[in-house]
Amino acid sequence: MNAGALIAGTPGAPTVMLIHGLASSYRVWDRVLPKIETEANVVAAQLESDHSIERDADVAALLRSPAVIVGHSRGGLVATALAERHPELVSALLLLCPPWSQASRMSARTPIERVLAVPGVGELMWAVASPKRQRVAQQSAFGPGVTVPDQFVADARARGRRNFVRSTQAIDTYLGARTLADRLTSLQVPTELVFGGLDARVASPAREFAELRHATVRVLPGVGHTPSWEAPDVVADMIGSTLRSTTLATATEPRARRAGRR
Amino acid sequence: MAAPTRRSTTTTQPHELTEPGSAITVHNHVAIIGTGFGGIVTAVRLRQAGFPDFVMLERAGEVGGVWRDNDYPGAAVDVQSNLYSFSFAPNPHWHNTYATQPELFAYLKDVADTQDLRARLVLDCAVERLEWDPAAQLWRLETVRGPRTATHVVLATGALADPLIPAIPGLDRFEGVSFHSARWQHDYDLAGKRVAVIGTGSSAVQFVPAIQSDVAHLTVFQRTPAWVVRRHDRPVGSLSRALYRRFPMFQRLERLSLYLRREWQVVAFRNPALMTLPQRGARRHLEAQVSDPRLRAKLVPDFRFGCKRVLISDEYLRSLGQHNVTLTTDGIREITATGLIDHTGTHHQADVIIFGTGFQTSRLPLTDRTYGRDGRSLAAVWGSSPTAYLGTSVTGFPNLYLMHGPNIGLGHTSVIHMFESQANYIARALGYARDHDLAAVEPTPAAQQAFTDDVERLGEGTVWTTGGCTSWYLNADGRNTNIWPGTTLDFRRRTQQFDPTQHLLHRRTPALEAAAS
Repeated sequence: MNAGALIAGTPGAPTVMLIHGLASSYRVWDRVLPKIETEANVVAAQLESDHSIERDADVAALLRSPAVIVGHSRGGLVATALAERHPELVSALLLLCPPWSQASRMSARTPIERVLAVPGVGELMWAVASPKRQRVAQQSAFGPGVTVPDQFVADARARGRRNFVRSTQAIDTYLGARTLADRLTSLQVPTELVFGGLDARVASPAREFAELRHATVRVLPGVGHTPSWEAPDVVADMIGSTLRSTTLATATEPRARRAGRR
Repeated sequence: MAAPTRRSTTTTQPHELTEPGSAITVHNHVAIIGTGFGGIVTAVRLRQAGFPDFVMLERAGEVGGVWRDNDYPGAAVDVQSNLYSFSFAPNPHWHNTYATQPELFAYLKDVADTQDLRARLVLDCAVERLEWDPAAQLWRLETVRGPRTATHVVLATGALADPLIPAIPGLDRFEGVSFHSARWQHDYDLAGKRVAVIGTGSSAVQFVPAIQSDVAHLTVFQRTPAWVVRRHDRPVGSLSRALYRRFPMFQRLERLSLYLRREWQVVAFRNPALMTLPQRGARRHLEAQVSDPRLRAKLVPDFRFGCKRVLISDEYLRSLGQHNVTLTTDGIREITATGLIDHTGTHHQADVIIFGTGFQTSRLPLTDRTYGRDGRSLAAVWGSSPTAYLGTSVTGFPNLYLMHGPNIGLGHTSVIHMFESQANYIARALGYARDHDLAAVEPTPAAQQAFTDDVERLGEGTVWTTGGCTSWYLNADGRNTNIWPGTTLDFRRRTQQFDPTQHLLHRRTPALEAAAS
């Protein structure tokens, strides 16, 4: 297991685990953290993402007690896999713009992602990409008019082509085996799915999650693929209310209160 | 007492000493404890990486670590000095291939001067306790000169710092003089005295031949014989020294050549069958130096060459054959007022007992008084099996680094190379924390376990674990907790970058954040 984490917030408070997406880092939560750290003990994962989604879910080793798991994009799948493998560690799931089937991934249909996966040509393309080109490639992760923050360009660059391609393929492997809706059906954990109305990478679902009684779907109008950056207040509020509802729900279970000092 | 905030780094002059009970606690960004090779290399590397606010705390009155303390007659290094020295401070003045203690001590003092470390040094300042304060996110140090705080702490206290004197019954009854080789009593004249030496390790093989001709009688108590090889020491001529001074490139080439010649030898430590050849050489060395077959028989180890530390000496074995020397292998039952009784009941008269018994190696200094995030001491967390990520950092102990930590020691080449790798990791960790405005970093439990697994895997089948001996490299369970069983190049590669996926990164707590802004 190669997963580190940013540890933040208030020791002893209920735990939230934040899981970043493709070619990203814990810094994707930079705007959300200050808004939740007084009421939560935060574990913001830093994944290696060099293998499968399931391998990344081993980040569960950093949890001592049940937590609200928040995953962004690919991280939403890691969060789901974590709940599949360690249900006892998950009190609720909050999935931000998760790809929910292979077909839902609009970016997979772009030529860039396909060419990058070709050995030789992909390496060449990755190597010669100018800073401007890299920034343009990141633009689809945000709504129109949002300037791509430098750290997102740097984080993606730091990953390297091989890691980028592998972690992309891991998404297709995971969703190819079972779609997200199918997987959530088997989970009993309360789940909130959030999509961006202007998301250029993941399509908003139509009725795919309608059958799930323990899951709600919400679409944020005017927001692109990265709500934690584009609408941090909304995301912080959702995390806060999820935290409060799960602490209320589990208040009668003494083990859940034993949120260990990290 | 005002808890200092880390961001407004109170750059205090370290020589402004605090008195016990003083209201002001001195804060530094980094506290380095110990000023031997490990402490000095850390200081130099940190300053180079842009961390000038460090203090070096030294329990003694001068820098130098083991090369200050081990000043017994004949003390010298067992690795060629052109290699056993800092990469950033080549010394063209070495008088021998293997420098003697006075030269090494002078070298370390000189490096402290030329690298301008004196202003950062607090001498006679033993650290008694360290505690991580989770609220203030810093280390609280108790020293004999009062309390201090530091954001990061480097324990450079050495793996061979505290002398080990075995608990032999009757030691307190002895009416003569007794001391440990690392605390040599120079004002005591050994000439004409009956001397008992306990232990035959790396120190004893150096001081036994150095004192043998002066003393009336020497009784050497040997528990286990070790393999001894020729030293091939040579004086470095004035011409060579002048060449090194004028053209440093030659010395760098010599250093590289020594490094390569030694580095590949790790292959033999990992494939004990290859030790047959050097073992045969050691056997010939013994035969050439000791003619008495009965004495020779006592000096043949029953384990594979390399399992215990290989001793290098051109004089030790020969000195044991001299008329005034007795080698006894019958153990020690007890010490009396006038000598020692072995297990056969024979009494050996002695005026002085010298302990060549090595050092406390089962526990690194201060680790029993270093308290981490959950309030437990490092020694308590470790038990008998110390482990660390890259031999340097430990989960649960934020911003703490151990120079010469677990699995940093070497059997085949200069440990200074390892120290420089460790110092690089420390500088990278501090750099990452600074660049990302983090309060603290520590390895994840998984990262620490993975490194330990690597050590285990690399150590499988090596001469240290399969050579048929017990040594201080192994803990009570036979696990290697001291030796890095890979190449130094592999270790250098591992310490080249700071990998956030292997660490817990602690953000500043909100209250401190507000206080700092």
